[in-house]
Amino acid sequence: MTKKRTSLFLVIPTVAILVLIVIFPMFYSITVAVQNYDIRIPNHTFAGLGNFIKILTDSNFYHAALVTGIMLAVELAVEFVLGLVLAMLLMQIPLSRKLYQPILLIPMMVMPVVVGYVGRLVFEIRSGPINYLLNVIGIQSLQWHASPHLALITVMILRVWRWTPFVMATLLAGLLSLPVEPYESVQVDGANARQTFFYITLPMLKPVITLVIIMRALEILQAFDIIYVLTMGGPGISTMPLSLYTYLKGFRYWDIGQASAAAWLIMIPLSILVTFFVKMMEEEEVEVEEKK
Amino acid sequence: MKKRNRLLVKRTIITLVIILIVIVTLFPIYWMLLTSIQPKSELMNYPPRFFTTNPTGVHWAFTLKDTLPTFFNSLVIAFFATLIAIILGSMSGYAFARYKVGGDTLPFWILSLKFFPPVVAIVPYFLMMKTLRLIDTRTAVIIPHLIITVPFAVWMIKGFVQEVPRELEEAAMIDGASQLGIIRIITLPLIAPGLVVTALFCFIWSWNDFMFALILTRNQAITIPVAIAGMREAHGLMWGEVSATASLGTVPIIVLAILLQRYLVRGLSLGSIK
Repeated sequence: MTKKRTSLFLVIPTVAILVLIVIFPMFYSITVAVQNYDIRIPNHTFAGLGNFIKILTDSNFYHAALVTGIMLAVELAVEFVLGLVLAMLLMQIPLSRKLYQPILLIPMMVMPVVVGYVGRLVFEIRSGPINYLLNVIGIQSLQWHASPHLALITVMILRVWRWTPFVMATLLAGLLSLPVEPYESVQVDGANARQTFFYITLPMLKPVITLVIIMRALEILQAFDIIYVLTMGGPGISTMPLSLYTYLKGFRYWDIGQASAAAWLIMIPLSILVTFFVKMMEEEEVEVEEKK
Repeated sequence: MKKRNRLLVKRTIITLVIILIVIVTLFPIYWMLLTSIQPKSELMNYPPRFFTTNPTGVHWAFTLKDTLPTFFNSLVIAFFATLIAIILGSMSGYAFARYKVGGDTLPFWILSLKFFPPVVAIVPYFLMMKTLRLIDTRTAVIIPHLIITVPFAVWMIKGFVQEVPRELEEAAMIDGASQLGIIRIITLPLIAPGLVVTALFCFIWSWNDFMFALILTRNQAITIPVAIAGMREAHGLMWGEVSATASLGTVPIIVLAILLQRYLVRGLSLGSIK
């Protein structure tokens, strides 16, 4: 076999399967989004942009977008700061790092559905351990996920618990891969720790930081599992993000056409982020090739 | 001497902070495991008990009896979603690394699919599987899982192949081995550890997935996450039983992850930070 034929033989099955399982459903989804789709009957009337207009005039959709937006802003900030602080602390204790790091990574292996369930356990209002500890230090029990004011915070606490280890691990890997020369030269110049951090570490870490933030944003925009188990969007719609809104439209109220339209609206910020991510990976690949 | 003391104090404080974080990290998991072995009389009492002196196996017995088919579904689905990804990933990952098929465009298109949002896919998949009469079968869940596992495997394996020195393959070529023979005899054994890590990540992703399994199964083919979410709805107060099932779904993955923690970061960041 020639080289060309071998390579085609190796690649074609993958490409064919991906086209079949990704591209085809995507087009199918577009056709559904422009129909008044009723699951009980075989033929559906054409809706044009009707479904999109219905979604875009639904105040619940904007509320869901707001919830997703709050989660994006708060989680990105908290997870990034906590993750970076933890990574920097672990850098300071090189010997015992190997002991603590694997333990600190455990949350991100826990099934998100289980995180939601564990949230119900530890935040249990009457006799959960967290309210008990609050009582011990003289604070009244809080309503947590049952309270319209605290529910979103409870969701975010659990999500920060689950995802900060990912941010920490990635930033730590980035920190460990930084060259030592710049540090040696600023030490000679007598820079203090703060200056070193802001003028050497942060700028050199920038590509890793960007990658982490994009990967986290992609996940946050699709947040679903923990909320489904913990609050199902409630109380009211106080913890309903875009993906749950879409799911409920389609699979609780059975408006498949509107659900497709909502899904495509979520697709817009996601594809922008993915494009950024792929661009960054491409640049990194070019750099690696140049080094070779 | 003074400087050494200050360093010691600093490290002690940092270690204490880290230990505090470790406690916060492990507490929820500890609480779940504790709940799964506490007798009913101790559950949901006030004040809560932070340990138990008379553990019971009744919740685990219930779980092992009741959710064994579910556990098996999860295993089968994750196994095939992984196996197919590794086969396709080895083939095309190799071709992308060595022959530069499709230039940069094709591999990066495949990479971008790794982030394809399930929420966009659930509606068409539900309708397709309904038409094909595949709803509530394991096949219906395996297929959409490939959307994530295949691109991930392609990308990871491409990176691993790139690290194998070309000279090794060229030497075998001189000895008269065919191209496919070289891949089988030289390259794949060399990247075997990478294949194991890739397989584990695919497996964990499929095992933990909730959205596809939720929409494409009813009762015969449900997976562990769907079972846990359903138990919550059906039996609001079965804390011990749900905790045992949740532990069963979580602990094997945590053990696997700790065994492989050396490779974890690479898998998580798609090999972007080596």
